[in-house]
Amino acid sequence: MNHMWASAVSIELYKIFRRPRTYIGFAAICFLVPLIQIALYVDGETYLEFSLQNLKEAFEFQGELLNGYLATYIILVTLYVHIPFLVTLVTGDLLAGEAATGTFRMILTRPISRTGLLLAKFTAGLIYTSLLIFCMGLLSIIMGVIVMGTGDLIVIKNTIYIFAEDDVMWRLIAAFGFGLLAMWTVAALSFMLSSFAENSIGPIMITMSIIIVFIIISAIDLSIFRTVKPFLFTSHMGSWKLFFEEPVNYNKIGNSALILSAHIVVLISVTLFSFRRKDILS
Amino acid sequence: MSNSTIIEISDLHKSYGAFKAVNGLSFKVFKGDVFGFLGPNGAGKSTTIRMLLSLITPTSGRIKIFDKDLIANRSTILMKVGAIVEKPDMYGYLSASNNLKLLSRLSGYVATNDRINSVLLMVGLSHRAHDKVKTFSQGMKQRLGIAQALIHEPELIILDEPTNGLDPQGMVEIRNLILKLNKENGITIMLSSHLLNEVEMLANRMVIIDKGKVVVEGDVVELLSGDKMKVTIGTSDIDKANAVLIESGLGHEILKIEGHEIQLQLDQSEVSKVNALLVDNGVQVDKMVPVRSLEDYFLSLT
Amino acid sequence: MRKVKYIGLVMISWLISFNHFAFSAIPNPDLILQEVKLKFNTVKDYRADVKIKVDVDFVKIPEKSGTIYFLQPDLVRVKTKGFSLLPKRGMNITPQNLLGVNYTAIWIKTDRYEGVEVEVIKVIPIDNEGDIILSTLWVDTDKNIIRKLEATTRDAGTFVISMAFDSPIEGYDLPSKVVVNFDMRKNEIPLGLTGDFENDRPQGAKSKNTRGKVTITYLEYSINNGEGTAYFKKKK
Repeated sequence: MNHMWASAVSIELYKIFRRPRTYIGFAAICFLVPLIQIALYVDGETYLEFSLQNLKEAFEFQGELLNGYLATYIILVTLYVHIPFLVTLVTGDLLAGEAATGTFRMILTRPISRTGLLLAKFTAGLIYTSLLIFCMGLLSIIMGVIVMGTGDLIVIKNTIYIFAEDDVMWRLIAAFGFGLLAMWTVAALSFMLSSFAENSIGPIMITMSIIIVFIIISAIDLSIFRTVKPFLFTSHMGSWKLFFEEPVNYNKIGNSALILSAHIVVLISVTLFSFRRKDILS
Repeated sequence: MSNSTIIEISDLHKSYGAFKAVNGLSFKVFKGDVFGFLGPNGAGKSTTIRMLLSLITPTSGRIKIFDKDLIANRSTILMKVGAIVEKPDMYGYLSASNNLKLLSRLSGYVATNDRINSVLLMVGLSHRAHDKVKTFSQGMKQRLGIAQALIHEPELIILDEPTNGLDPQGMVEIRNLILKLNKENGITIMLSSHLLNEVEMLANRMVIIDKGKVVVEGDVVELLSGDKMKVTIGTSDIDKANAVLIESGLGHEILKIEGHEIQLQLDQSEVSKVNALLVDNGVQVDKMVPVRSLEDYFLSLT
Repeated sequence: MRKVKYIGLVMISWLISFNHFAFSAIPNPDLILQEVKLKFNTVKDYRADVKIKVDVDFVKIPEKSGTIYFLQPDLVRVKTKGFSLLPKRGMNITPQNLLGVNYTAIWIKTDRYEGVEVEVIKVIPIDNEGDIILSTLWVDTDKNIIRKLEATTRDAGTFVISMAFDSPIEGYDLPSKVVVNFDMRKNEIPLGLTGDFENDRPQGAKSKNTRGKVTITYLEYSINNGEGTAYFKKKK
């Protein structure tokens, strides 16, 4: 059965990568990443000047802040809205797509159990997501270093952090790692919604709507929203930024990681529970 | 023919709220059968087949395949079962051979290229092996559907309206294939259809259901013998054929003559005799198509 | 009569010597500062390997290694690896640029600073051109060095420079550690750079004054070897 499950994962990956829509995500990254880097290369100095102009009254700046690491950091910030969409394009279709094309009748009459098939599909979805994030990270860092070189990294929050050049790479890698967990949560949500739908548009739209609504709820400072905020997965998706503080609050990061993991477990459990009982009528 | 039971359905029920789609169904399919599963539209055939293939969960009742409970032994059972459920839908963005490769792997079977080619040849699609399925006609998809049911060398094949969408030539080819698989490979076949004459041509046993219940079950010949059916004979020499039939005392059975076709009413046992009679008398028989309607048969039962 | 004359003589002598001693016990601030300048002028140039630690409320920057180049009379340049923030005030204070303008020096008192006896002198620039409007110096007259400096600027508050001389360099007495404390306005930090939607800065955390500190630790000097000269020549 393990062999059959492994075989099912490779089949699902094969199906994912034979579909043109899969390459939309990679194409978007190959477009978005260089675009941001070129924009920063051309206009980054002006942007930095503007952002730090108040500081220049009191401080003299020495050295270069505009470098590939800063570009990579800014690219990471786009994880918030852009990459979730590229993830759901594929993961939202994993089950709904089969219902839409009628191929459930072909695959669910095979010996592989529904649990095995579901987990194989979800695993394939996670692999796709991981490849997407990995490509984004690799392209950001490599292109950034080639175009703008390396240097210290400035991160502006309510404290300005400047990280020494040799203290940046591990933070970027850790941040991408955490970002991956966040995107896995998005994948799990869209996968669950996909199990209830007969075509993929619904899961994609609903997933993005949920993310946007939750972000808005987090941003509005009403007491009722404040109670709910710690439990929203979107509140924890951005915890990769905690790697860009000194000292790093590992407790908070660990807490966010746990909450995101719990979301994944719950979402997949709900999917399993409903899908195993579902009558295939399409 | 062995009497071991391949499929055993006992008191099967499926309800959707107040609506009973299957209402206490019980029948058996034996090893080596070509088993006709008949019923008018809405009788519960599709629901029953989906329950047999675990696409739908029964409300109550028991299904045993290969003498094993389906729910408890689903994986081991389905490794030996091939099926088409309604319209066979494939992955349009993949080629025919890639579809077969993929689906056979999900059955735990590694299909070699030789195996894929031989199955595609069996269903008449070897010339389209590498074409994307989205370019296929409905009939070609139907053939590919049969191919995916066969690819992993099953012991039981469940076919839901297998000749649906095929041209007459295709229908004949698929029917011959079904008979060949049964006779030469010993595969048990359960064939669902609303066409009585198709079942009559292929099946040795059958069950007819209506409103989720069994109406009649048994040997095809026994159930249908003594029951006359309409036979359409196509010939270019209509006058000569007419004359031969009248001369042999079958003139009263002629129902109508239209263009190059004569329609008679005959017993099943008389069909081959009439064919031989015409041929011996120099009449070229282009076709001989028996037509027996399920509705007529129902009426005859009541 | 003789007795009266004698007492009178003693009293006059005592008065004269009292006056002499009284007036010669108040240090001359101009002289003291002149000695300081002269002492410092023996350093034509230097290159120093340093570590720079910036300690500001809302800035976290790691300790940086760097090099300070100096060329008489008042050229100072700090070079660090990578990016660094250096406070504008206090980094390039030398006796020359502090005492090079017309000023009035007032001796305040003798005091002790870090266990060393020092003369506290206030320096008030006479012309209005410079940024510094008042400075207070704690001068070690034994070595003719400034141990502490407090300066009030025209519109940027005060800064204090404290110097330690733990590794004495024969003849030059350059500091081993310099700590610059300065006033800072906590500026509004723009969010736009990193698109931070989650910045949970507390409400009302607007501009308020805070103190900053820069600590420069001098690890190694290369004095009067021409390195400072060569550096500034290259810069031209």
